[in-house]
Amino acid sequence: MDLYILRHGKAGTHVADQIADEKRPLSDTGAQEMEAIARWIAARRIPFDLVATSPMPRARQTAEIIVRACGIEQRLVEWDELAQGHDPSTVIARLQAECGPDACPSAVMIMGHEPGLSALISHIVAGHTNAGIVLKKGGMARIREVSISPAVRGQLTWLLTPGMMREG
Amino acid sequence: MELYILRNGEAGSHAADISREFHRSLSEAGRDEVEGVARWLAGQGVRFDVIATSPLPRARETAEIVADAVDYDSKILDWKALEPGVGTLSLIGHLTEFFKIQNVLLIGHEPELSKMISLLIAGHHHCGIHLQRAGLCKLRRVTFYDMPAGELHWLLSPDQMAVVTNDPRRRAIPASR
Repeated sequence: MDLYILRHGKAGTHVADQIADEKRPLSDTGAQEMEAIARWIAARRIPFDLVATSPMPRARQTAEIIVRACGIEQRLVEWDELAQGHDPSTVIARLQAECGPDACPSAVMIMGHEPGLSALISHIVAGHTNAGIVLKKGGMARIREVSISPAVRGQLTWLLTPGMMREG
Repeated sequence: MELYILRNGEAGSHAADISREFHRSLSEAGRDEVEGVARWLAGQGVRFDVIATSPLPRARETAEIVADAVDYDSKILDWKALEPGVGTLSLIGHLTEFFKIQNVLLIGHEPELSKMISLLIAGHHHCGIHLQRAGLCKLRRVTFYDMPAGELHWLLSPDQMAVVTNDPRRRAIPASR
């Protein structure tokens, strides 16, 4: 499995109230940036079997922009495990559940939040959750040859800032 | 320290003879790819205070192409510690002497480079890191105080740095490299 991990785009200012904070949508700039990134991703013609997003609006909106640009709206799903505050092991368990005895999806994109996503990348690549990995808002990682059992391991092959995904 | 790590460009087919294998030069395609990376780095406004390379021709040539593109006019340092087969600790030891330098570029070989990246970001040698030929990574906040450590900020394949041109062969976007 090739796993693409995208952090949601910019979402305006953080607010103190937790419920209101969780509901923040993408800012106008954030949405525009994601449109450009979505075009870049679509141009790669990556055959995503599944695009999973955190249910929070700023992630959900990011995911909708991506699947629209790639023409794969029907492959978008929400995973509660990708919401902010979940441990990477819950996302791993969900990925394992997506794999049947014979086959795993070959390309999966997941959309969520920090610090959970970089902890997830670290877990898969380094075997612990504390590796130094910087994933910016709108940034994307690609981990190739992700094997699911017995342990989840894979090779980090891209770590991109949003500015790197604006051409082509 | 901001540490940039570049793997040598493609160097044609392996030679059976180990001494010739060691001394392979960049292939034409390898040279093109490295030139793309060099232009991209210059376009990002990246500047280096120190460039150090493995003395092997395919690395040295890679270093010279980049140095030229980013207007680096100091001496390119040859480090035996960047040669294939030299341990990561020796390389880190070498690098530690440059701890006060802000922007450093190292050019070398696999698997030594990804082992060093692994050690800096995760504290062990066994991270899954796939650094392609002419692939680049950037680590920021690299320190050697107490334990060597750093944060991985970029990991890029040469296609991602290819500057878009009107040449159709260069515009092709591979899906899955």
